[in-house]
Amino acid sequence: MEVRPIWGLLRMLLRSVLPRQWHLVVCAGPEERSSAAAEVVAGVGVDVASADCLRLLVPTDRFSAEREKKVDDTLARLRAAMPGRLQVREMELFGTIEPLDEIVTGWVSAGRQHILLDVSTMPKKIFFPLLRLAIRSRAFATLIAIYSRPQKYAEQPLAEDPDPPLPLPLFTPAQAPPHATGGIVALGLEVLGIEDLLADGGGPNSIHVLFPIPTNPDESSRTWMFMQRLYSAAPNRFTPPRHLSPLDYGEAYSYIRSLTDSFQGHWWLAPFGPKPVSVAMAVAAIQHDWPAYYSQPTVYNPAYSVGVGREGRDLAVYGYLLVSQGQLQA
Amino acid sequence: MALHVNPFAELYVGETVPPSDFVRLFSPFLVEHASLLFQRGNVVLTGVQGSGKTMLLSLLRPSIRLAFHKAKTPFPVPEAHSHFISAGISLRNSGVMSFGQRAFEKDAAAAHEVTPLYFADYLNYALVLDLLASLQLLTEDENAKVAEQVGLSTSVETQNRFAAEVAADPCWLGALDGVETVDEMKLRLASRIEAYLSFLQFNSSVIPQGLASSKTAAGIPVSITAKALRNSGVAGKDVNVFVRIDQYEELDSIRRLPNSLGVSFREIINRILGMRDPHVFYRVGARRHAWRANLRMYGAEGVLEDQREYEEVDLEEILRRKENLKTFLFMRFAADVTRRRLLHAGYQCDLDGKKLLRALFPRTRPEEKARMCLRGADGALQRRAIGVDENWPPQWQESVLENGRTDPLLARLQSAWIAQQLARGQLPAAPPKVKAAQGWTREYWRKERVPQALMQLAAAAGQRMIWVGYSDIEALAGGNILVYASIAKSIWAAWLRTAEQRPNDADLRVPSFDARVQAAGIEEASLDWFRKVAEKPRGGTRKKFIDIVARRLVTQMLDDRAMSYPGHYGFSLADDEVEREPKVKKWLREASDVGDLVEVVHTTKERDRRSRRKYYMQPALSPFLKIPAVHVKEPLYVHVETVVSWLAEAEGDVRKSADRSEDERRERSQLRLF
Repeated sequence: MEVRPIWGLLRMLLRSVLPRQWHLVVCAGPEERSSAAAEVVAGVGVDVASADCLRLLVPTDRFSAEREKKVDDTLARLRAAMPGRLQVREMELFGTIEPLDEIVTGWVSAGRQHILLDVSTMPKKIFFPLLRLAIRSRAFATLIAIYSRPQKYAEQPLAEDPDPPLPLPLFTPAQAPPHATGGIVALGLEVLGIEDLLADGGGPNSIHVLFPIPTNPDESSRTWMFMQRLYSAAPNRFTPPRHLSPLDYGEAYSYIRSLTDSFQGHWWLAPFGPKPVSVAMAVAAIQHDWPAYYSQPTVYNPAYSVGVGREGRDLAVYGYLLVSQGQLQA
Repeated sequence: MALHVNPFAELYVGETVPPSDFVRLFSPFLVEHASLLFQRGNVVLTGVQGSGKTMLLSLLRPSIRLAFHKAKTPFPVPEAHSHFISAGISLRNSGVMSFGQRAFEKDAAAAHEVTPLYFADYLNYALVLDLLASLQLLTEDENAKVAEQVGLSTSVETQNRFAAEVAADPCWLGALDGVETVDEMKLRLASRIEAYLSFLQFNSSVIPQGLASSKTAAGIPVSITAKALRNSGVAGKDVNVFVRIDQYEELDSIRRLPNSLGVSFREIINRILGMRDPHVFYRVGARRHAWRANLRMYGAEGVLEDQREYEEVDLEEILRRKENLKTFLFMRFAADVTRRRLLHAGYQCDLDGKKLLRALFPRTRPEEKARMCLRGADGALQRRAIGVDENWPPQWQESVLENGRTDPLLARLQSAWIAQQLARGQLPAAPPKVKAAQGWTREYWRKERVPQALMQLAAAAGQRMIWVGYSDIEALAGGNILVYASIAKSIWAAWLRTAEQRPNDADLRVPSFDARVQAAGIEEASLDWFRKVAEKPRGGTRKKFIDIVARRLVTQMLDDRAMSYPGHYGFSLADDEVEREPKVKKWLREASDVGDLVEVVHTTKERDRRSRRKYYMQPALSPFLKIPAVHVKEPLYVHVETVVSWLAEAEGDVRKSADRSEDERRERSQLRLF
């Protein structure tokens, strides 16, 4: 039976689940929204016993000083929201993922049962494997993914100098099958490496496109540009895009289910889109051992986004109940 | 009802089209020039993306071989070289990329020692498994004819004897003990691969039992298997075993890990080539500099030597325009590709070679391009564009203006010549009547300056340079078939969307694109290529670098009214200076490896005779950058410090590139209005 995962404003979601002792996981990025989830959680007054904060180390670039200052500001806000409970863990973005395994193993051995995972500013190279390790461990009774929508994105390029499109860690194809059943690409705001991926990978299969409905004209223009590049690179493999909400994890997951005839065959995924859609792709890939490709940028614009969006009087911070009572909600 | 389609819509023909389409679209043109691929010995196939590496390597795949047979189309490899079976691995799309994500030992030094050995073991198992899969595919009942052509036995008993013999070999250290059939062997190999991936994906907490004590030596199991194929009678004595390793440069991504394992993994592959195995021959697909950057062999002192351990087939070198046009292959290759695509798309095409390309892309003479640029310009603008100086002797001014009325290009060349002569104090009192004395019409003087003159005229008139015709497209493609196909695609798209040109749906004759359609298509393709620069690895900074350098060069060339330096749309660097600046060296190599810069060794004009290389922007970028694409005369000689400063500027604030984004958006909207 299909289970539609519960999602909504984090404040309301937390009130709708039974009182628990939570473990919060966040990533200290330079954006204001990096601390929004922690602030909402603190404001709701739920019991957060501990919190891990990932501080990612990247090679020095021209933005290092500006970025570090902003990350320090984020850390100050996080410490204020989680006084005495925040453990900062440094790890290299381009290093191995062993530290992630150690983190998840650490939660298990410390008896953490209920996890709040804020993926808002966590690179896909980190949260994809982290999600896989957490879900595959089957050690957690509750897992809520959190996404904070920014007020707006920078009009300038968000990131640059991408690595080639490669499988995300732990999402490597076992062995390239001669022809995959198809590919699913979620459109994002930056076209990075997509043509490379289509030129060399995946075989002669059809490409299905998830088109998150943009929230403003600038996002719209960027998303259409992405689609134009995709179409231009592979017109004969291109299928009409599926429009969906950029926030609705469940809609994205259900569409992947119907598209793949309940996950039949071997599909490859390219999660370039917004985080809730990426989380749906990650969960599908974890369940069915599908590869996921991404071009990891090596330089991020320190002004990647501005502020935190609003949903009425609330901050636009959403929660997605991925695991409940130890069961994956999919 | 017939409908027009764009024959170049799908740009990539490699692993991304079904084998049946591959048969129809594949141009065998390069086969004879890359014939080493089908002969004994190791081959490294180098070239930028789009140069045709994957397409050529695809010919080795059994599914492609079978598709040719099924389509009753002759296999494009000469019969004498067609007796082969192959295995392969595409590094990006295989579990190889997981190596390095998890340490096989707790101690870092021990892990660094042992991980390459596990990598080699994984590679061995993956390749032998693929070889067995190829064997089974080629010898299925329905493929018996192909098996016979290749020289393979279809006898299951013989194949199983072979499997038992291979499995019993000591090279496996007992890991395949008890195997008696090909199917059993495949299962055992697959199970080991699965065990590796399970560990690397953190699905198992410890290294699966038995792996550590039975690691196979790099290349040996493949060699043993290949030898046994022939000894057991499964393959004839003349059947070669080839192993494809594509996307070699992707190991660089593993190299980014702090433990530098990617370097060791490359050295493992190098070591396998260094074995000079008489039973199996490797084909490595790589980018040129990525390949040459490290030729060390794992655990050995020596390095791989070209012509000894391997032969390099450099597709760029084969296809790049040479001085001798008779040996220039690219446009013949492009014509063949075009013809196949036209036929595949349903067009009636009875032309081939240059005739076909000339029919599709008729040229516009430079004189006409100059007129097109200045059409509608008033007298003052014409005078400024041509470059008439009020301080010149009146007779010369009159002569230039007179020429300018009918032939602005001639007038611009004449005014440049006048400026040169004035600078030397050698301007005759009046324009000579005899043509032989009219220096601006001398063949080579003129030929070398026509691109710069057109550039200056277009800039003065506030117009884009006009790119039209077969020879312009040849220059812009720069020997890269992907660039050619993308230009053809854009021109076709412009034609199909232009109402007044739109053909009758039933008329499937080869079209002939007029100048406006060609120019619009070329502009659009160039803009696309410029945008693509930033989408490639480390492309953001490279895009800014190209923009910065192009602006510098364009400014200089526009200011050079005497056209004394008509080749300064590239720059030249002395090799010894580049060696002093490893960052610049790496930068330039990488830019040329991905095809954004074109690097050419050239002869210096200076007395010091230092070896030099010249660098040009990828020709496809020329229309967007408003810079000529045909390389004549000497480029701008610069010191390495200049390039260091360009690079530093390019590494400036990413937010400044917003200006360019605005430019691009404007360009894009203008093009779409066409």
